[in-house]
Amino acid sequence: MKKILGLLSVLVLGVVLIACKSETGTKGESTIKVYTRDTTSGTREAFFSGIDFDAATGENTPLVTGYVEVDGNGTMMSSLKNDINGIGYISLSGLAESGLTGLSFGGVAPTEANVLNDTYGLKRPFMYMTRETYASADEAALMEAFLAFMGTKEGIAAIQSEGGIVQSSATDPSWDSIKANYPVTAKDNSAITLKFGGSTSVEKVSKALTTAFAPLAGNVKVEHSHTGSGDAWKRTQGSEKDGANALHMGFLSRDIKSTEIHAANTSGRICFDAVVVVVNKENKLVTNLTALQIKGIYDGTFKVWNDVK
Amino acid sequence: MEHSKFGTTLSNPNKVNKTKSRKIDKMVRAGLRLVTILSASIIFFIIFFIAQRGIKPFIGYGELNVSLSSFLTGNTYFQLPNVYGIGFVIVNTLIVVFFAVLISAPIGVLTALFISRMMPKPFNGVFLVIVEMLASIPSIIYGVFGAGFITKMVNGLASLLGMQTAGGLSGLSVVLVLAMMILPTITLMSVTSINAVNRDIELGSMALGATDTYTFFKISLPAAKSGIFAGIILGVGRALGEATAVSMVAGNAGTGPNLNLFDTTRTLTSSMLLGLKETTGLDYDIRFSIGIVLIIVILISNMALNYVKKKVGRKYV
Amino acid sequence: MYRRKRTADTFRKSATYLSALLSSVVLIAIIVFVIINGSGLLSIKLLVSDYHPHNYSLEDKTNKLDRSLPPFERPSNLNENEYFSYDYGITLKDSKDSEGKSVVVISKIDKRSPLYRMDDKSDPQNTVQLKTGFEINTIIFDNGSVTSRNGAEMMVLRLEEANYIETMSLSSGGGGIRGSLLTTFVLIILTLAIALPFGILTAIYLNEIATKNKFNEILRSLIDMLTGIPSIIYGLMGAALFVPFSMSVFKTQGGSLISGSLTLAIIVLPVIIKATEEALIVVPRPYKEASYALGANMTQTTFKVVLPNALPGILSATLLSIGRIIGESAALIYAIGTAIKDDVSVFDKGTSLAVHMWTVMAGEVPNLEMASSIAIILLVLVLVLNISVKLVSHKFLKKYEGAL
Repeated sequence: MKKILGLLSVLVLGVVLIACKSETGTKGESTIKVYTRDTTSGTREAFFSGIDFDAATGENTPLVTGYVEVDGNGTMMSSLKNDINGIGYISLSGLAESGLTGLSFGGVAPTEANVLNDTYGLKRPFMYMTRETYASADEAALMEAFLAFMGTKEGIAAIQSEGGIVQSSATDPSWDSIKANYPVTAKDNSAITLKFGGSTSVEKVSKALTTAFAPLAGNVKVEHSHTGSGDAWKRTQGSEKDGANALHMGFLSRDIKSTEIHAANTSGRICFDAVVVVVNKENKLVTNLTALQIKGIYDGTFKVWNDVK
Repeated sequence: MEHSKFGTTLSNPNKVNKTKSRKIDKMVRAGLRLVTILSASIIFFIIFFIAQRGIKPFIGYGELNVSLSSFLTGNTYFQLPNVYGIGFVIVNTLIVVFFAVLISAPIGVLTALFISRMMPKPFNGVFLVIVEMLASIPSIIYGVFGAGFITKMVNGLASLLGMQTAGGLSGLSVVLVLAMMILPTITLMSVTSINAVNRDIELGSMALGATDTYTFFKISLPAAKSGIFAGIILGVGRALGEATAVSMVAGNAGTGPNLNLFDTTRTLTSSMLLGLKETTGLDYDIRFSIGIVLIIVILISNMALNYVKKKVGRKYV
Repeated sequence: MYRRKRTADTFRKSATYLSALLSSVVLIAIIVFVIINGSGLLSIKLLVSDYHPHNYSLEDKTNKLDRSLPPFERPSNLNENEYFSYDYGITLKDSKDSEGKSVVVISKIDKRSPLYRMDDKSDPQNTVQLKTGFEINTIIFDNGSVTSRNGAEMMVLRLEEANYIETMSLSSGGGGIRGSLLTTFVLIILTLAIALPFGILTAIYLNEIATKNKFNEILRSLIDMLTGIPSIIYGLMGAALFVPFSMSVFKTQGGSLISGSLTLAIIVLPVIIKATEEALIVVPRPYKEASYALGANMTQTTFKVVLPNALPGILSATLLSIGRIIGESAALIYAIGTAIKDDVSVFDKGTSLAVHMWTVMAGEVPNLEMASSIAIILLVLVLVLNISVKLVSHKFLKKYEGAL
């Protein structure tokens, strides 16, 4: 009996040691593990067109075998945190808190300044799309107020609080100065629920906007269900606009496509953002990659970290 | 006249309301029969409604119809706009279930032997309670445990062996999680069947000079064979159908089959649960088709295993 | 030969002991893991607060900052990441919220601070008292703005610089499971209300009335087949049948607690039927015979004599079903959805505790701590239910020891 207990405790100790084994950094001979977003993601489109790999924007077949597909900006971050050999791409707004290392793109560091002065190559807009018609006049009025709110000091501050890149100036109106134009916001709107969705990269910015807007609009209720840029148009003016997943406003992390036919004045840009190529913090082998190198990693030309460091 | 609870009048026992009570009985009988038929027909409802939704991707989308043959044999899960393939997913599912049973069946049977025969009366209750608790833990908790601990363990093991994993999300994690989940099932069924083994044959063996361990292994276990096998079949069924826990450790591989257990993998159930975004459309309906395939796989494996059980089971009764 | 047998025997014995110990190790590992990760967040606050935080937009109408007053005294026990504003008597610190996002939190606020009580922009009559733990999202000053992204230190700096505050946007609370607790409770009640009558009546038919003909054998095996079906298949059926049903009959928008309970009812039906049948079998024949002898018909005998005596068995069937309901996740993900709600309505979506765990783990940033806290609650509930079932069946068996 004692022998068994001894054996077992050694086993358990071994298991615990293995689990707590600290990573000692990426090795050059390790295979690069490629992470990508799914095909409805606006971030994916911005990424692959930015590195000139258009064949992969809608299809996974051009990618190297063994790619891992994740379905959200945050999932990409948490997956890469656990994989020292991984490489992926996220929205710049999330870089600071992701715990990952952002790589320079063609020598330009991924910072807000570089996006604003147009030197960083993977810039992309955060867009919104609303509906043509709403279920009630109040809902339509509230959405109008929300659109106006996005241009006020409070709205811009909310966008910036989540890393959205937008120029703010002293001439931005405050909400108080324009709220008289939107009398619906003075009523109690807690019986109305506004639904927001679309891109997961824009999720944090959109949540900050609704968080700031709701108390100023009669405590209107808001719901967020972000499933990818592809659903923004689909659920406001496309095939699902009247179904169970219908949205009041959808967000996109890319430009609106020509196939997404929408009514006038129902779309616009909120702010700018950029796509950043990221690796695990323990990966000290790369700090800067060119578009060609990134494309080579994703299509399998470069297989191990030594090929690109 | 007095009326007692049973509808007879005590002062005149012949005036029993026979016809009325017979009528009530008849109605109640018919009503209960109806309810039972309804309960029994649930299984038909299940098959019908899932099939209705699941056949749609193959015939209801016009140009975007998915091709059935490439669905069943394909090696890439999804290609725009309408190519789905789960051939490799079926192979992956069978692989992980096979290994899970390989690990948990011996451990489960031996634990059952321990509880049933080797541990003295007051203490074996403790172990039985431990196994019963394991059996009633919800699968999502196994999933959280898997995602938080087992994946880290597999990640560490992989780096020890010089292999790479995607943060521990791998076929091996799935195998370990499934093994943990079906272990109590196999153990409990085996305990019941080992307990039911006729004590006389064990006593006979020991009277002939065999040690108790030898008896248990060579006499009792074979005698309990059919019950143990039934437990294993139950375990296989549970492993094939487990969805939440597997989805949290599998990793969502896009192509396959994934024979390397340290690679991410994809099972039938994880395909149904991961990436669930919409509630209409081809991507949603295809999950029902995968559900149909899952039902068929479970049915076939049940039948196959039951056949094997019949062939093997008749020796000792 | 004896030596060889002896080593073979020790090997077999140790393998057996090892296996038994392994089961215990697994259980202990799961419990320890869940406790380590979850006990941090576990509190009464978790159980009673909303999941979604409350958002405020506040202003200082009277513009109470009087710079002629002496500055506030700096507290002596400030941590490294805490920053103090002399003008406003408020301490801010950098922290992370339940989703891992960096936020600026009020860690101390002096009662005399001009920010202690501010006017609510959404309700001009209302004022809001700022408390420890409130997260500051953005502050708009007369000369610019500062956001949580800039950090606590920058925020305090701007507070000292600015002349007055135009708007302050804050959030408080959140991360609670009250909504999911309520939803679980409602689901249990609804499901049992649907499944118990069906299950008990079916069991009565199968046990008391059905004759041993082919038809009834088929009925029985059809019901037996239900036990082998994985729960995700039930979920698919819930999505295919009950969700459209609830949408057309109850006008819900997609899944609802109604469609969820209907799905759960079908899952627990075989459990109830089986347990009730076993309870009915144990009712001693003399009870029934005495009742018939007194002239009762079948209906009266069954419902007034047999059924009451089978109540303990029905009770354990109920407890087993409750255990199944609170543990069910895959089926509800399809039959209801994964939207966490704070207001629970039968006609609206909601998450049970298990689905809440799935949502926080499968979401953008997996929140292991919150999932583990809920896991602790689930494990305790499951333990209590298991013990209750054992107690009930123990008392039940004792009752009939004499009569059999």
